[in-house]
Amino acid sequence: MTRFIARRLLILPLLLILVNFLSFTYAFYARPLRAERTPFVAVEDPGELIPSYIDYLAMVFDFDFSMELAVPGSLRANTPNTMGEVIRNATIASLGLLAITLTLSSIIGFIMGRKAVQNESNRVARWLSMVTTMGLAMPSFYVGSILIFISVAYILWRGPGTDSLLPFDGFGWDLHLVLPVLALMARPTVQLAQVTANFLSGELGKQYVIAARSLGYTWRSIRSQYALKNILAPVILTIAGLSRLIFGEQILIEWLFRWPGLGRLLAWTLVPAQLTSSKGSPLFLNPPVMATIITIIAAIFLLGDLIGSILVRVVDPRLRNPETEVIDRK
Amino acid sequence: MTLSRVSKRKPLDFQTEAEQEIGQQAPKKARNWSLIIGLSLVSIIVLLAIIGPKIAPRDPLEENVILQIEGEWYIPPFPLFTPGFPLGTDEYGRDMFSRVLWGIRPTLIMVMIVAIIRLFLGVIIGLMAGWLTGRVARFLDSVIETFLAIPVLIVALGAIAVIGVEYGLWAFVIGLSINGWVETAQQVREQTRIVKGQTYIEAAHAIGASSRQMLSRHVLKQILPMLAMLFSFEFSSTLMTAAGLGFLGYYIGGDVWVEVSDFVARRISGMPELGQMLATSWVTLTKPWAMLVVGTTIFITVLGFNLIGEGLRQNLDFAVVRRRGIVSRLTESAATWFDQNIGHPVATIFRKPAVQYVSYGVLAIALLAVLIPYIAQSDLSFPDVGDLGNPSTQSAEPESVAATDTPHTDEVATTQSPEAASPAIQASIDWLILEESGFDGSPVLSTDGEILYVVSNNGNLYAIQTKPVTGNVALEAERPVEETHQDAFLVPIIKLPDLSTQQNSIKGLFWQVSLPAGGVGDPAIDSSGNIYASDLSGGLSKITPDGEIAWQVQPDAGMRSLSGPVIIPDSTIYYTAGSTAKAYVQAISPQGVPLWSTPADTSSIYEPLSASKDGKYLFLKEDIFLAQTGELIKPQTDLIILEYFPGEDGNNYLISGQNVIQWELADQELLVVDIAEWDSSEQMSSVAPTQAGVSADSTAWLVYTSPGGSSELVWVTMNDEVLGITEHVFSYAFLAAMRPDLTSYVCGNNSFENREAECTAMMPAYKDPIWTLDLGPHGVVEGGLLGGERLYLTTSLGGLFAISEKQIESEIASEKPPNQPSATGSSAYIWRYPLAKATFQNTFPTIVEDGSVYFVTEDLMFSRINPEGELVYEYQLPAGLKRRDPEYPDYIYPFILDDGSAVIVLEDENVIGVTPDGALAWEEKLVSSIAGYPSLSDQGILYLLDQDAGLYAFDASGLKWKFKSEAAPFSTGGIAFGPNGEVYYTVTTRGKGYVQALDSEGKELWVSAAETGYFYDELFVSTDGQYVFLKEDLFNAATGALLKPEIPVPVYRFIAGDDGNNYLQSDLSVAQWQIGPNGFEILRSVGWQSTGNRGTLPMVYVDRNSIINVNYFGTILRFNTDGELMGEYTSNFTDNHLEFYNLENSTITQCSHDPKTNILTCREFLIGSEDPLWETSIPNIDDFNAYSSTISAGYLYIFGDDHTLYKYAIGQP
Repeated sequence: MTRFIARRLLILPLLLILVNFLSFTYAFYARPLRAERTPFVAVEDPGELIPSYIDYLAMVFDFDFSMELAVPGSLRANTPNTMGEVIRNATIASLGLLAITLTLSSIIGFIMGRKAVQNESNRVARWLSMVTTMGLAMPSFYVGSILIFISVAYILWRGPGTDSLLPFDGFGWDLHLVLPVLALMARPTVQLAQVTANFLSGELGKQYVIAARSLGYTWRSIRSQYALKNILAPVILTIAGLSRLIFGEQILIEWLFRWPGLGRLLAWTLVPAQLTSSKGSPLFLNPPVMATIITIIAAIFLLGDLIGSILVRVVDPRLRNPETEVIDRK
Repeated sequence: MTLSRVSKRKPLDFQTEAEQEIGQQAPKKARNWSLIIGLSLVSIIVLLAIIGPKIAPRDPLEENVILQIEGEWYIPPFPLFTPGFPLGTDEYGRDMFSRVLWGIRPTLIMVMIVAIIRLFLGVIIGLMAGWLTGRVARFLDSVIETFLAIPVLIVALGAIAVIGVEYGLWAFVIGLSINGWVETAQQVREQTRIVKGQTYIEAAHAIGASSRQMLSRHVLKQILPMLAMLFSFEFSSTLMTAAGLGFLGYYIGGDVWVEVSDFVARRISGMPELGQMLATSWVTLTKPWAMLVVGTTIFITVLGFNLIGEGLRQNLDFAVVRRRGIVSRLTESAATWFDQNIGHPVATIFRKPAVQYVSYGVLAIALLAVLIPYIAQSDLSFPDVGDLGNPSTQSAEPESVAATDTPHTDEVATTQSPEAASPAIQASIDWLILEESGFDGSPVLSTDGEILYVVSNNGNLYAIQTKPVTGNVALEAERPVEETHQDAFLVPIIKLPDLSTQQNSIKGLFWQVSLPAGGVGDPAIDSSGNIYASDLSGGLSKITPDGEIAWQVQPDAGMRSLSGPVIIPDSTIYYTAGSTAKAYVQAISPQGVPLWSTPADTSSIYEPLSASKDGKYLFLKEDIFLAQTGELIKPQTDLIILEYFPGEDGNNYLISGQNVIQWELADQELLVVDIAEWDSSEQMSSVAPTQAGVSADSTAWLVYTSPGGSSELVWVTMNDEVLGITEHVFSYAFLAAMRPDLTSYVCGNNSFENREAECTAMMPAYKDPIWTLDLGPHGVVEGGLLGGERLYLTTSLGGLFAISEKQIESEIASEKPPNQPSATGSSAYIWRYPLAKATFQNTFPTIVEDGSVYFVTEDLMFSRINPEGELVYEYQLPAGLKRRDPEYPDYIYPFILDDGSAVIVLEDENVIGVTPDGALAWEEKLVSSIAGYPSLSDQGILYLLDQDAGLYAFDASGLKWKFKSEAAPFSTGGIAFGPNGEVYYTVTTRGKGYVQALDSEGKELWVSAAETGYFYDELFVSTDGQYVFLKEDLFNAATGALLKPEIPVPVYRFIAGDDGNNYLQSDLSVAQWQIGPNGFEILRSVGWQSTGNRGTLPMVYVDRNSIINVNYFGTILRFNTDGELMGEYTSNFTDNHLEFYNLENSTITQCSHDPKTNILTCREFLIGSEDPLWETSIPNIDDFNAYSSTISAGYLYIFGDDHTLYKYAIGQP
């Protein structure tokens, strides 16, 4: 496993450099291309890619992120900030949201999945199918919008001067988290519940369970000592995958709740001004910003994947042996 | 022991393996509810996609600006279940139910195309990845794993950002397909690997089957049943991503934000599509109908497809054998029979190589035959949303447009000669006929010009003799009717409904015929003088010149006529009839026999039908029909066509973009003959013209208009010469008629109310109207006709006007102007000062009371000029910070303190003080950027708020103190002062406001929570310093206690009057109050009638003379304390007109510039008085712009385009 970790850690920086260069190149060529076609983006002389990228890398390696960024649409509209500050704050804000959502989704999803499998028949309860079908059909922004409308309806009902029960706008490591997390949780939770239930149901149908029952083991002990342990590896891999799902949804949710995270920042770099209510979107296809954001996102994904892979190997001894891995892959 | 413990709970299931297998194979009686419900939901959605536009009760683009329900007026968005709008409306009052019915189709088509492409890619790549081994397989595995790691939304955003939403469908197809296929590929790969490991594959391999054979006969067969399930899941995930994109503002075709004033922009979108509707639905949090309706539609659709996918997945679960009903048994039998008798024999034949090669050849030829015409037609261009079944998208845009850019006609090169004086022509109303039900179209004249035919909304066709009416003999005899009508015109007026009973006594009315139902549009007249009129029952009537009905035709029940008839040279009559969402063009022979009826493609079904002069084509907005056969033809063209129309010169034209194009058809191909092209970049180029035509001498004209905005008329020759551009302040401008010499009669309304119409006569050579005529409260002008020397106009509220023009005699022109000044003023040039560069961000220089002028130029040089126009100092401000984007606006605020020193807030949150002689006095840095506008107290302290609830007090020596409110984290931007220098400001969290009070030294006095939800409102302090007002909240200024006295009237806002008294505004009244020993007392109150601004409450200001100024955003009413109206004034802000209010003295100083004479005329007058206190003229002002000029302390400052500041003295001599 040490070799596995070492190999992955070695590949990780290479992958990140590749992602960084590709995203810089994308924005570098895309911005003038768009500028030619729309009056909303200033036409600039893009110059040469490689010197520009080297300048950018020099900035990164000098750790000089003092470049001013104007982040539109934030609470402090058009407040200038340095790139370092903006991206650092956004990363913290997004990671926090992601971590809390992932943790809650994993716990609740796992519990739901576990509860939905019936011992005797090994079948998944119907209520879980209903819940997952409904949950998977609900776009996160729709759930978020409904939560916001409920908050507003409450304020309207109580009259002017009423505080919202839960803040539906802006950032804070407090009650501000509740609505965005709820909106983000819907899909990953039911997805994990479904996966857990299916794996558990499959596991409980195996011969060793029958053997264990014949030996007098209780369902509780079979589930907790064998079945759940055996399904832990795929569940962990699913959770690692959920982080990607959540981050995709975070773009919409951060946009909706004005959560100043990476998703919102990414939306600003990809949604041109004329499609938003903001007069200017100075971040639109900005190569250094784009490259930095995408690299951070890629780093989060890759690290998540790495942690997931290590955990899987920790909980499932069968995966620790490289030969088993090879067999599995086959 | 264990066994016994377990057996107590439940007997163990000791089934043998064989028993279990039997048990598993036993039929289960469960129905596949997921599949049933999913199919039902999807069927409904697909059905709505197909028939939605047909059953939509309203035009999806029809805007409703106001609605009356049980006497109450409502403005959009109307909520759910509003009568007539079951799902409410969007912010423009467009029916959500109809919009959803129209929007499902294009969305589903886009999603279906993407899902098919994703499925195709996923299956191919998945099969390859699962089947192949070695490097290729590893590479494909890596691709799948990498693509799985990247959220589809991010990739789609990135791709569409480059391609651009304006490329329509294909931008989305590409964006959503780049890595959207990967989940399908993953599933197919796994399935392929499972199949690959089966023994029958091994067996096939052993007997020498090739990979292709094994893939096609074994693997693909195993995967095919999954396809329907995979497609369902692809469909739902594509729809989810597309909805997310729509939510972020990305949807097919995109839209634009159009600036309608300095700080207001409006989103302009075309035909509905669910993504677009999502993007524009998030308007106001308190009115979420649009968002809920669209979101729920998407949710139901995704749910339906998910359920189908889940149902199919269950069906594929072979371990579960379901109940086999008769249908499934029959299907199975049929499939077996087909396989044995057709499938297998045919497959055997096709296995022969020769047959295979022939088949491939045929397939290739068929594919080419399909693709070549498509490629030739489309020129590989991307279709827009119109190609998805809404061909009217482009043409529909102008209807939804309610916002326009401010025009800058000066920058357009035209042949207009503003110097030339308009010809002195006066228009007068010869007579006016009133018809209570109103008119919907123009009148027509008989061939001899003596009889005027007009159809009323209640279905009466009137034939009115024009000549006897001229003499007014007959009509004047009926003048008693006029006396009962409150009208401003001193012309003969008669009410038409009375004519039916008094027909014989009125010589003006020749005859009158009742149609089967209400009249629609213009009547038509043929060469024999027969009149044709269509009606609301969908019928068409032919009436002889004697007023006899010759025949009437009636289409199918449930139809109504949508336009008046048109007649082509062979006397065939055409008109449109249909339901609310579909129009049919009907052709009727001169004998009244229906010839053909063709459904139109356009959604602009209420547009009038027109015919080419040669009678070959009929035009209905962007549809062309062959007049003989009724065939709807679709000419091949790359142009996006808004409208086809016939020119007066006999040629056929169309509008594409801002240009009028002459065209011809050659073999279904549209050939451009000529283009009237002009530079529309500075015009209302973001909106399409609402009306266009071509005159007899081939001059094209275009009308641009917007509700509540300004309108323009542009004349362009086919040689691309702009003959003229005129501007009107009309809402809903309409070109009623045009003379051969291009004199154009344009009518419009001055407000949203659509009650009062005004008409002007314009000529290309003159910017100003030749004449302007107020038509009074008779509604909007619906039609116009030039006949003889008269202009006939019909209006929506039933006015039929006969207007004639006459040359004004020279002595009239030389009459003294009506407003001769009662006193004369004087003006004098004082000095001019040339600035080295333009001022920063083109701001106007700051002028202080002593006449010193301060400004910052673009090179960040801060300068002061003394009142004599001499430079006092120049101070170089620090250079701007490094910014990546030049578009980003910078902020530099200079504020001048009483001693002449300046406080400048720089862009990097630094604040500097500059001494009166231009030296740096001090520097400070704010914690965060500035909030609101700084305020200068009576004590000469400049107070400034930052975004983080921090208040800073600066004087000439620098920062006196700063304070950060702990009550709430954000500032709202308003500061108010008490008489002893106390400072009050409002801070807020999200949803709650607090008033923070400090003494003049920055010590906290109190902080108090506001009850009002309007805590962003202006904060006031009563003159005596006893109370602090925040909208309807009343605070004790000493303690901060929120006072809740018993007030007998509802309070809209508390006001501190400049006369030292306290007032409150309550709806349409203002009351002076006090809190005395008896509690809250109203001392006196003044009320007024609304000026018709649809419930908008005015701003009220009480000046030091206790005059109550009620400001209806442009119109100011002034009342004294007895409630008498002292005057009314409506401001007139234009580029050429500058106004300076001095409400304390009740005067207004105005300066108007005449660009023809370059004379600037300034005057001052009392509000409500027509007579100026003084008036003076300044000649040779050739560079005047009201927005860069100002009046201060009797001086006029003009900042010219040449960066020169001019100072003039104006006023009493």
